[in-house]
Order: sequence, then structure tokens, then C-alpha cells
Amino acid sequence: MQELMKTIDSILENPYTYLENLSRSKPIMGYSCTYAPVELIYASGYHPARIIGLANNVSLSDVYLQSYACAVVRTLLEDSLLKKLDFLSAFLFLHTCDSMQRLSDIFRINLNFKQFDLILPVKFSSQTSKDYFLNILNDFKSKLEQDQNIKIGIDSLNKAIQTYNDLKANLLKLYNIKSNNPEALSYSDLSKIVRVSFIMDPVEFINISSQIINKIPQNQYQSSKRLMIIGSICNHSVLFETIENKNAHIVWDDLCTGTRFFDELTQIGDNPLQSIADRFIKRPICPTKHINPQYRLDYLKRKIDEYKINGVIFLFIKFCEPHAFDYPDQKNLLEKIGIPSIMVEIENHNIFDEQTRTRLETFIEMLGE
Amino acid sequence: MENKIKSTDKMKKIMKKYYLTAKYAKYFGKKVAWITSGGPVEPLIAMGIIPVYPENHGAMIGASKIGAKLSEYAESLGYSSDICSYVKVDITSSITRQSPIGGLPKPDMLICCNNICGTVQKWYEIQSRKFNVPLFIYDTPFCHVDLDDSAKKYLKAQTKEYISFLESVTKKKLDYDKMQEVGKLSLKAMQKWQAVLDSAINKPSPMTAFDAFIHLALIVTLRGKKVVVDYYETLLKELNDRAKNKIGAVENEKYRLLWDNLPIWYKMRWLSNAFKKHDGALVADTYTQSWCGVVDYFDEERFLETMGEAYARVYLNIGTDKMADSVLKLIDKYSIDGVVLHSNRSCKPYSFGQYDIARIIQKKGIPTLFIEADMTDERKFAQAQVENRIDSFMEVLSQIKG
Repeated sequence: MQELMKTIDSILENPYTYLENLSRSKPIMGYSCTYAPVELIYASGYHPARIIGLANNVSLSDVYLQSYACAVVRTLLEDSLLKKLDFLSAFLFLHTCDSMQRLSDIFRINLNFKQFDLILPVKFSSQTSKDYFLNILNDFKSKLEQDQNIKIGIDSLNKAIQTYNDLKANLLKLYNIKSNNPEALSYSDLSKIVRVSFIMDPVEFINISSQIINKIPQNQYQSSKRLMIIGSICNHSVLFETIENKNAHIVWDDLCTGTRFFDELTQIGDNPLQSIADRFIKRPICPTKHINPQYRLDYLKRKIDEYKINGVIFLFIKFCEPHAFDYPDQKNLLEKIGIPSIMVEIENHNIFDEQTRTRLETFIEMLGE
Repeated sequence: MENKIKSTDKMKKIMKKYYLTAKYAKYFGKKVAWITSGGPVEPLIAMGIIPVYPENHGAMIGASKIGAKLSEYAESLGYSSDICSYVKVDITSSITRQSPIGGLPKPDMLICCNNICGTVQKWYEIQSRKFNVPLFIYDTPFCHVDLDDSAKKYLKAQTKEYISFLESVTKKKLDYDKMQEVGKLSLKAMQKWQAVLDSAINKPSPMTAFDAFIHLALIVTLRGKKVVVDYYETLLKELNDRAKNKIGAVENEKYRLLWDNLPIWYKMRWLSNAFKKHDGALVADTYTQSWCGVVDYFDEERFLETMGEAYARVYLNIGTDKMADSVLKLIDKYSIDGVVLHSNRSCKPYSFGQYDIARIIQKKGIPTLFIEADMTDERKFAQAQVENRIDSFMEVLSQIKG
């Protein structure tokens, strides 16, 4: 297990080196968020890689973006301007928040990537938006076919769906192990495994994650402090360790570097594009998407019951509006049902200050035994 | 704002009547819909539903200089200091009824069109939960380069879905003849509004962007009604008379400026004077042009069919380079000497990309000035710093233009 985690750590320490090496055998398409139809990209011959900016200091992007842009867009831009992403053959922007939408323009105007934009519907509730979703996937497929000079058949698409289903199923298995047996695996490691799945060749990842699943001890341990974390991108291993060092366990999350990526599998059948669209609509939505006004509150309540959560930590990237808008009503719901919560603002690096550490430690102590 | 436009009093009366009608809608047996400022309002007018605009209300709150106070209250409820201040003042006002008009009437439904930002989706979800009323989202795919066929089809289908939603909430059928009539009036109002703004082509300009920000209220709130067309005809006549008699909105107009982004509602007079003391007149802006900029995408005879595409092409729903093209056209049309960009902490889709727009403008030899602020929240306005920046900018402009 430790050896396997070492392999994952070494990739995450420098994901761009891993991808650069991979790019020698396969073109790589970077993408901005978990609404990317990775199965379709994979079937077209590209390796889909989710790019989360690594830059610790942002300076070049200040020429293009105001200081009140979130760290996600600023660091992604910074890495691009620093030419750290030159191994990419293409980049796919997904229409989610206003900031990402404008970042796409900044890329198109100032950088030389072969760029695709998938203008997703905002609402997933009506037949019109479902039809539109399918149509844009069809359009994207045509663009990929033209770009790669291939025909993407039903079989190859289903094969790609199967590969990514295996990848997602392994992640779900790991989360279930963590939920049932919180000591078996640290959330810090679990989070790293999810993040490496964005980067690695999927077959290689399925292999390594299957080995991890087999090596995890099966002892049952019931934790009294079962936590859920909510937010967008969160890579903060140190922060997770701080939380779990206090005899608490993160047993579920609502993160786009967590369950929102892999929850729900895609059906294999005669209309794979329809299956991909259906899966995006069925999976837990991010706050930039709409099913009904109550959806995200109902989802939170359901997960609290399902995973017997007794504390919630909101980890919000500074200036991330979609989550900030949902927060007060989520907090009120938690108060109503007697679940303590705390909100912490973070940057998207693995750093946080002493004050945050103290607040988190106090919160966990407050949860009692 | 120095040489006061006389028609303004008439507009105030129209707006007062409109808000009274909205407040007492139930008494008149009418339903109230809250709608986003760039949303397709015409079907509401055709169905006798009273549209109410929380953004217009937010502007009123901002102009009354209580935006910071109301934002602080929302922040005490857990809303971040970094989110849109229009949302925060609306949330506060809907709880405390604080506002220059004692709060907005309770909605029977919410109509949210995301052609101006993604924020409105979250805002209207919050209010839909609070008021327990149905929400319709009119989803306008973003137009980075152009709208493709899938997007156009989606927009057309949503118009039908929108009508069905309204019919279901009101339990009434849409009268398509009436709809056609409202569509024509709406287009006529947009054309008149464009003519009003174009009066600023005259030198000196008979109006400024600050006047446009005030007179905008009617095209936002009542387009589709005859009273808007009639009012803008009156206003246009007054502006044309002023132009004929060389009455400028700013005495000694020497430098003609363009404003980008929403107004800073609580500093309108101060900003007007800050430029005026340098003989600068803000004669045009990108914001108020949004309510007439897409008129050519409507087909008067097929209003409902073409409505979606037109609304999807508004200024805030297009790519940054296309926005820059629009700005360059305005610079040319209104003989602009310099551009003032309000970097608005509340409005990310309007503000991100401005640095690229500024670079594109500068390449044409037009100087630019950035003012960082917020449209409603006066806590985010550093007056001394802004004043210094304006003074320096005007000095540079005077050196360039002489």
C-alpha cells in the first residue's frame, strides 16, 4: 500500500512531467472541470487530463485578470503563461461559472492552444435542455472526429465508457471502504487517489487503484466524528491530515475533486452519447447547474443521513461565487437538523494559516466523542 | 447632470405609477414576476403579468447610498463579502423591507435569464426557496465566437417552454396577436432608446452616460408598453432641441469619454463632477447600449421565434474580443477620446476580460483608465485614490489631445 501511494505521490508532485512523458505516445487534451465527457475524448484518441493549476505565486496572470478572480482560474492561467502546459495538444473549456467562461476568452485571445468550448446547459431539468445536451455532445464528437481524422463508432465509445466506468467504480469502492472503515485509509490519501485519476492513463490507474483496494485492511472501525466536506477544488492534504489527526474522519465529500467526479456510472448501450448526457444529469450537480432550487439542500440532507455525518466543513476557494451563494441556506439547514458546521476559505494550494488550523481543531473538539 | 433634462420629471411619474401598480398588483388582480434585467419580458407584458426588476431596485438602493448597510446585513446571514452586492441588497430588502420604496412586492413567479451572468441563477434559486414560488430559467448559451445551430434550436424550444410555464402559472392562454403587438412596441422602444443614446453623437453632447443611466429605467422595466415609446419620443425631442441649440450636458465639453461596466450608483454626481472639472464628458457607455444593441437580431414579424437568439447575443453574453469590437465601434461612433473602465468587484463577467479590452483599445491610440469599485457597495470605493487616478488620466488626455 505504501509503495503504491509513493507512486501516486510522485505523480502528483509533478503531474506535468507525467503528462509530458505520456504526450510522447498520445496527444493530451487538458480540460477545466468534471463536466468534461472524458469517455468521448478518450475514444477520439486523446488522453483527457484535468488541469488544476499548480503555481504558488501568481504574477503573469495579473496582466489578464483582476485580483478578485479565484485561485482556480488564476493559477491555471499562470501555468499556461509560464508555458508549463505546452505538452497539451488541445484544451477543453466547460461552461460552468462566469470566471471560467471569461478565462476561456483569455486563452483564446492570448494563448495558442487548440481550443474547444463545450457550452453546457445550465439547467438539467427540462426536456429542452436534455435535448440540447445531447446535441452539443454530438457536435463535439463531430469536431473531435474532424480534428483527429477518425470516426468514433458506438463500439469504441462504449469501450471508453467501460474503461471510465471501471475507473469511477474503483473510486466509489474506495469511498465506500473509507465510509465503512474510516481508519483503513486516510482522506488525504483518498483525495490524492482521486486527483491522480484525473491525470493518469485510465488503464494504468485502474490497475493501481485495484491493487490499493486489495491491500486495504478490512478491520471494522466505527468513528464517532464522521465529517463531510463541501466545496469545489480541494487539494489540501495538510488540511485533511489536521482534521483526521483529531480523531475525526472525513467519510464523504461534495467536491469536484471528489465524489462529483465519479458518482454515477454511464450506461453501455446503443446510444452512448445519450448515456453520457444522462449520467451528467444524474450525478450530483455542481452549484453552477440547476435541477430545482431545492436540489443541493436535498442532496446534502440525503448524504448526511446516508453516511451518518455529524459535522460538515465547507472549504471554499476565495472568490468562488457559486458555492458562496449556496452556503447560507446550507448552513441554516444544518442548524435546523442539529449538525454543526464550519466554513473555511482557502486558496487552491496545499497551504493554510495557523488561525485556520486552530479554528478547525476547535470545531472538531467541539463535536465531542 | 448639470444642465438638467426636463423630461426627467415625467419619467419619475411613470416610474412611480409603475411601482405603485406593482405594489398593489393583487388589488388589481394581477400577478407579479421578478425578472432579470436582460430577460425576455415581452411575454409577461402580453399576458398582463407585472414584471419587477430586482436589479433596478438594487440600483435604487445603491443610488440612495444604503447599499453597504444592506450588504452588511446579508453578510451577517452568511453571504460572502465577495459576491454580487445586488444579490445581497435584494436578500436584505426582501427580509427587512429596507429600500427607497419599502421593498419589492412579493413575486408569484421568478424568471431568470442567464444572458447577463451566472449569478442570477443562484440569486433566483435563493429567492425561489424563500418565497416558495416557481422559477423558470431561460438558459442562453454563451456566445464566445458565434451561436451554433444546437444553441439556436435550444433557444427556440425554450421560448415555447417559457410560454407554457407562464400559461401554467397564470392558468391563461397567451394571446398571440397581443404578443405580436407587444413585440413591435418593444422593438420600437429599443429603436427610440438607441436614438436617445445617439443624440450624444452631437458635439457638445446634450446628454451624458449619467443621464443615460437614469433614463434607462423605462427600457429596462416597461419595454413592450406604449408609454416607453411615447416617453423616449418626448425625451428625444428635448435632446434634439438641446443639440440644435448647442446646449451641452457638460459646459465646455472638451474630452469625450466612454464608460464601461455598470454605473457606480452611489457616486454618480461625484464622478460626473470629477470629470467635468477637467472638461470631460462621459458621452456614451457600454451598459445602456445593451438594451438596444441586439435590435437587428429580432424579426418584428416573427418576434417570438427570433427573441431567444437576440437575447442570447447581448453584450455580456458574447466573447471578450467581440465586446472589444463593440467598444471600438462606440469609440468611432461617439468620437471618443478616452475610455473609463469600471472594474466592478460585484460583476465578474463584465470585469474579467476588461484588461484585454483595454489593450485592444490602447492599440488604437485611445487611452484607458481603470476605476476599481462596486456598483452598489460604497465600502469598495476609495474616493481619494479614484480622484487621483481621474486627475492623472485627464492630464494625460489633455497632453494627447491638447
